[in-house]
Amino acid sequence: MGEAELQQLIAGCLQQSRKDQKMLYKAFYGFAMSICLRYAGNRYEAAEIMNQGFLKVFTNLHKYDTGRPFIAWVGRIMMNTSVDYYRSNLKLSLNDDLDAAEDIGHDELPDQKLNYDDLLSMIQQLPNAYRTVFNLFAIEGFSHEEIATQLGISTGTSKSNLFKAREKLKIMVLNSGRLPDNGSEDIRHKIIAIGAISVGISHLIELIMR
Amino acid sequence: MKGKNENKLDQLFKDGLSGSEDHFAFREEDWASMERLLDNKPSKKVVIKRIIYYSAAIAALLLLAVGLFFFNRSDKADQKKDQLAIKPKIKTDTQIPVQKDTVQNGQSIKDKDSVKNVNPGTENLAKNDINSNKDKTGSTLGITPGKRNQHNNIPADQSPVNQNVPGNKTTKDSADKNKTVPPVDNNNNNAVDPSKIASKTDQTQNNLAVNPINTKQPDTTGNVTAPVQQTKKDKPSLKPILRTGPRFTLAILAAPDLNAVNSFSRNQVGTNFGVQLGIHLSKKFSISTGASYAVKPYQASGSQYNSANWQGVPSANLPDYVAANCKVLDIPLNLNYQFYAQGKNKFAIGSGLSSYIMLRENYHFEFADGMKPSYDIQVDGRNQHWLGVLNLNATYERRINSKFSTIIQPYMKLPVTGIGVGRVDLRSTGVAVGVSWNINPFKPK
Repeated sequence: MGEAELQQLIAGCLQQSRKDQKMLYKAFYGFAMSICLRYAGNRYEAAEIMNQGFLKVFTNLHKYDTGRPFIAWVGRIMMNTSVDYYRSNLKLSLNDDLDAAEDIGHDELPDQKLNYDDLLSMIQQLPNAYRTVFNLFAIEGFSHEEIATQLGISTGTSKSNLFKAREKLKIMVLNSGRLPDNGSEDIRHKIIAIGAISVGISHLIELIMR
Repeated sequence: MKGKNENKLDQLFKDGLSGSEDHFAFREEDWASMERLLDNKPSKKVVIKRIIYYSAAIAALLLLAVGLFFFNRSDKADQKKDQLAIKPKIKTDTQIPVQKDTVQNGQSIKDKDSVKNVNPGTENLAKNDINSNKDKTGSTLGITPGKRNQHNNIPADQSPVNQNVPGNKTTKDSADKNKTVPPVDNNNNNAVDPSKIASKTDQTQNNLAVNPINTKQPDTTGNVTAPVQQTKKDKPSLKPILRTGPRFTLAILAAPDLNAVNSFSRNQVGTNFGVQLGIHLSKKFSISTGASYAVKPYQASGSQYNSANWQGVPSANLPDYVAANCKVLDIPLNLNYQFYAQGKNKFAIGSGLSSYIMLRENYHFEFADGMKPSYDIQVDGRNQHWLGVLNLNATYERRINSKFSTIIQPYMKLPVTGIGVGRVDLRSTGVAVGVSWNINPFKPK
């Protein structure tokens, strides 16, 4: 979409033209969805978050600073809306050795290409708190301090969540390369059991912390 | 931003997930729900909240209407009861005599002039005459009409033989009485009637006795009438006994709580549960207090939130949205008026003030301009709003047994001071449901 065309659409949206709103929505649908899906647990939640984000875009369009790229503004709104959506359960954390987070994922990973759907499904399997921090740190490129400020959590929690996220993702990536056999079936059960137990314990801890 | 980003795993995901905009085909159903949002059509959640809110309001109104209806009815019923309770006594004891009295008085008026002087001969009459004269003087001296009336009645009750006697007795005085006394008569008759029984015996006394005794007679009749008055007094005298100690009830209540700032248009559901101690001062009035723990989430615009820290900051730098979640200890002090109670059902309305002790306040601030990051603050136990919230409630209580009742209580809490860090006008409404335990119940009579 050309810049002139975009400005025309924005002007139309400012006058509450429903046609222009739909055009803008359509134009940024894929972009917005790709962001929301990373933060959301599934497609339905992603669509809900995305629409909330677009509502903010439409209602605050007059505040958009035309000097900045529009797509970045939309992306930021989508990210913020996504983060807010899971805000209530962001504080899920375990106080592990926080610096260990940096050590995971440097090696041992097979040199394989995983497609988008596989990666997305892995990231969506993470608990909300882990997923949000991983997204903000690994994909958006924020520092732990920035994440901590943005989410209202401590840097320790941020590091811990990243550590947990990486740990889980690594297991998923490693397993995705293997052919299903008896052994992997066994491991899968173990993973599910460990995952369930850790989720259970973390929920318990969350309850106690409250 | 993070300086080093050489993590292999991170890179795998970053590369794999970026540039995927074209991965998603536009879906019409997403736009349809977007249009609903744009049209401000409420989502299911909001509809449910509204249903709760409206049903609470309707329940409160219904309660009030039903209560008023029964209140009016019970008022009439009470009057009827009173009539039923009093009338028979009057009828059996007093009214007939009253009629007699008036008839006799009527006769006496007739007789007054004509008969008066006809039979002045007998001793009896002479005495009575003196009596009546005495009465006359008595009345001028301020002796109560009842006493005089008694004199009238005593002879009036006598057999026709003595019929003339009242005639003499009534004289001018009784003529006056016919005009003035009847309203007073009710009382007198009450007191008088039993004396009739005595009066027959007294009659001889009257006949024999001289004036001094007659003047004492009211005392004796007073003694006779005492039992009647006592039985009459018995009922009201129970009240003070029942009122000697206040009655206590303890209730456990829980409620979904709708919270909103300024108006209830954008509300969020919280929860509220606690205990309530009721001190029943009388049958109608009670004081209730207690403590309840409430979780109050709400949303507000930046302009509705007036933190002291925001003073002097240009409005462009202030957040546009505030999402809050406050944990509050609510200590109410209410006065309740029970306007209807019949059978198992009781209705009451109450009002008072609540103190909010803010245990924990969580705020999330957001800027409409997506470039500024949103942020959170948490405040623990800094704000207390003593008697800062106005309570309005209606209570429907249904008795299960002598000890327990169920309670349905629609309520509304309107702050008179700003609540929390942001001094917001945080209103809450809901319908509390609970069980009340009657610690020391009234013993049914």
